[in-house]
Amino acid sequence: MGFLMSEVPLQGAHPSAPSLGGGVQGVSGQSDFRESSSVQATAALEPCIILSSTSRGAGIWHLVLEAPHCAKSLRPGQFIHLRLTGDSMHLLRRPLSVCAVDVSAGHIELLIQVKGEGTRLLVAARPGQVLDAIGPLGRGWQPPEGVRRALLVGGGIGCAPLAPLSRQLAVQGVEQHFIMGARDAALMDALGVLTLGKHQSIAPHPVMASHPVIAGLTRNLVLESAGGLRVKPAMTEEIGTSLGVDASGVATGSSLLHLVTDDGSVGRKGFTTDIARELLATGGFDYLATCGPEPMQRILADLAYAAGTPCEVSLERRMACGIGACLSCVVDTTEGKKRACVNGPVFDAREVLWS
Amino acid sequence: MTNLTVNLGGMKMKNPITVASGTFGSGADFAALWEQTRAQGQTQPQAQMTSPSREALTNPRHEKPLSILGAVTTKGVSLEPWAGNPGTRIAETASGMLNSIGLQNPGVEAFCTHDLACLTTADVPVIVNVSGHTKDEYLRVIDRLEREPAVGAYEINISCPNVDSGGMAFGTDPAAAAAVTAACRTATKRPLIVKLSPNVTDITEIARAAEAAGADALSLINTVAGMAIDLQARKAVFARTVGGLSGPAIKPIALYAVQRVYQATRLPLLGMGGIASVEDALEFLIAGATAVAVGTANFTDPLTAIRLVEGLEQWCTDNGIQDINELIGALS
Repeated sequence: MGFLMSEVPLQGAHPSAPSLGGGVQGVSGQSDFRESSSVQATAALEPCIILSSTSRGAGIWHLVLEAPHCAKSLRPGQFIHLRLTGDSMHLLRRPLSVCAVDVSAGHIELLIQVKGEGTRLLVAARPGQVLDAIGPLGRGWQPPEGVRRALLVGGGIGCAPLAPLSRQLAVQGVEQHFIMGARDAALMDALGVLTLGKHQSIAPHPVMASHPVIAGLTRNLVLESAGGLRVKPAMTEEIGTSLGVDASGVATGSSLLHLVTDDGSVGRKGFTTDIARELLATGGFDYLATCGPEPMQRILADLAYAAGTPCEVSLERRMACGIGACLSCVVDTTEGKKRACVNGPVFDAREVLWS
Repeated sequence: MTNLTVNLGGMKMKNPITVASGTFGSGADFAALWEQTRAQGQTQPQAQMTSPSREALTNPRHEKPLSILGAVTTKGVSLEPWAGNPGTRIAETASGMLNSIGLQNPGVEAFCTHDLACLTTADVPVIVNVSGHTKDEYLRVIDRLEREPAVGAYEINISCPNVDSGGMAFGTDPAAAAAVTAACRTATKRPLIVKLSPNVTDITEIARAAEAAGADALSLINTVAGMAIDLQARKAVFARTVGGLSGPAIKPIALYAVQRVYQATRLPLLGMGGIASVEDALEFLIAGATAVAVGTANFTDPLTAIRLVEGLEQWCTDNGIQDINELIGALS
C-alpha cells in the first residue's frame, strides 16, 4: 500500500477548496456532497448466518453472510458492527466495511484483514454460525451530483469499501480509474476478490469488462469460481503489467484498474499517490474517493485539493457503540469533533483536520 | 405479577434497571436502533428472532422503546461545551475496556434544547449526569436544569478519572465531596445521586461525607483507573495516560464496594460495574443496590438493558419473589 510520507505540503483541511465546477449537469449552486440524511434510521440488529469463510492468503479472509436487512439497506461505504463470538473476553464489536452486496439473495460480503485477537476470532467462526451484526451504519460515499470521471484509490484492505462504490459508479456510466495499492503480489492477489467479485457470473464488473485483458480474466474467473474462486497470481500479474504501467488508457478515456505494489512484485513498483498524481495531472477528474492508511489518504486529499477535485476519505477509528452514543470514534474536523460512526466513516476531505 | 417498582432516593422507577452515564448518549441513538430492530423483527421470518432480548423488544406493551427502562441516565453535561480528550479514546482489555473520552458534551444549553427535548416524550424518568471543573459549575448546571420539567434526578459526577480538574478530584477527598454535594443540595429539591469513585482507599468515607452533605442516593462505581501501552510506540495509548476501566473485569470490585457502602450508609444505592446478565443485576441488588445500571454491556449487546428488565421479572416469578424490594440488601 504505497504512499509517501510528506511529498506535498500537509496543510490539513481545505475549507476553501473549489467545489464542483460549472458545466456539470444541473448542479450549479449545489454543494459538492449531499448531507447524509437519517442514515442511522435504517440500522438494526440482525443475526447473520455465515455462508462461507475463506482464507485468501496474506492474512485476508473473505466472508459471505446472509443478512437480508443489511443487504437491502446498505449503501456503498457504510459498515456493519459485528459482535465477536467464541469467548467472553472481548466485549467490543468490530466495525467492518462491506465489499459487496447481493440484494436479491440477501447476502453481504466482507474482506477481513486479521490484525489482532478480535479479527482472528471473527475468521475462526465457521459456516452455519450466526454472527450478531448492527447495520448498516454510517455515512457512505456521497459522490457529487453529475460526476463523470472518478478516481478511486485504495490502499491494502482499504480497497474493500471502494468496491461497491466502483460498481455503483459503473452502473451510472461514470468513467473511473481504480488504483489498487498493496504491499506485494500476495496481498494484491488476496484483495483480488474485491474487484473481481464473487458474483461475476451474475454481473461482471463493468470496469473490467471495458478492458479486454480484464474481461478475459473475468471469464477465466467464472470458470475458476466453480473450483473455489481463486485468482491465480499469474493472472493478477497479467493485469498489472498490461494496465498498471500502461497509461495509454488515460488518453482514450476508458475505465481502468491500476495496480501498484511497494515491491513491484505485481503492477507498478511505487505508491498509489504516484499514479494518482499522474492521473490528476491529466485533468478532468471531478471526484476522488480514497480509503487506506491515513497518511496516504492525507496526501491524496492534498493532491485532490491542488487539482480542484472534490475528495472524500474514509477514516478508521476504534469504536464502541457504533451508533453515535459513546463518542469513542471522534474525528477532528473544521466543525469540531465528529463521530466516525454516524458523521463518517466517509468524510468530505476538506473538513478533516489531519492529526 | 412481581412488583418491580423501586424508589431511588425519591425517584420512582418502574423497574430497577437504568443505564450507566456515557454509554447510552441521551438515549435517542439506542431508541432508534431498538425501534428499527423491532420493525425488522416483525417483518422477518421467526427463524431470525432467536434471542430473548428480541422477544422482549417485540412485546407490545413497550410502545415507546425507552419506556422499557426504569430510568435513562444521560451522558455527563457541563456548563460550557467540552471537547473531550484528544487522540485514541478507547482500548479493549481482557473482559473489559478502558475509556478516555473526557466528558465531551455540548454544554447544558444545547443539552436542554436537543437531548432533553427528545426525552420529554419518551415516557421514562431521566437522571441527568452533571459534571464541572468547579463547585460553582456544578451549581450552575443544576440551576439551568431546574427549569426543565423532564429531569427526574441528578447524578453528580465527582468520580470521572478522565478530566484534569474537577471530576475525580472531588470524589477522592471527603471534604471536597461534601462541599460539592452541599452546594448542589442548595440548588435543588430533586433527588441528588452522588456518583462515587473506586479509586480511593476507603469508599465508605466518601459515601458518608456525601450522605452527611445531603445526598439522596449514591451511585457506584465509576470506572477504575488504568492504562494501556502501545508496545511498538512505547507510549501510553491515551494522551492523558490514564483511562477508566469498565466491563465484567471490574464487577467483583463494584459488588464489594456496593456491599460495603450499603453497610456504611442509609442511602439507597445505584449499583454498576460490569453488569451484563440478570444474575449480575440480582447480585448487586442482594449486595444492597436499589437499582442497577448497564454500562459497557450496552456496547456488546445494545439490547442488554431490555433483556435485564424482562429477565428480572422472569427470575422473580420463577423464584416466588412478590416484590423485588425483598431482594435489596438480602445478603445473609
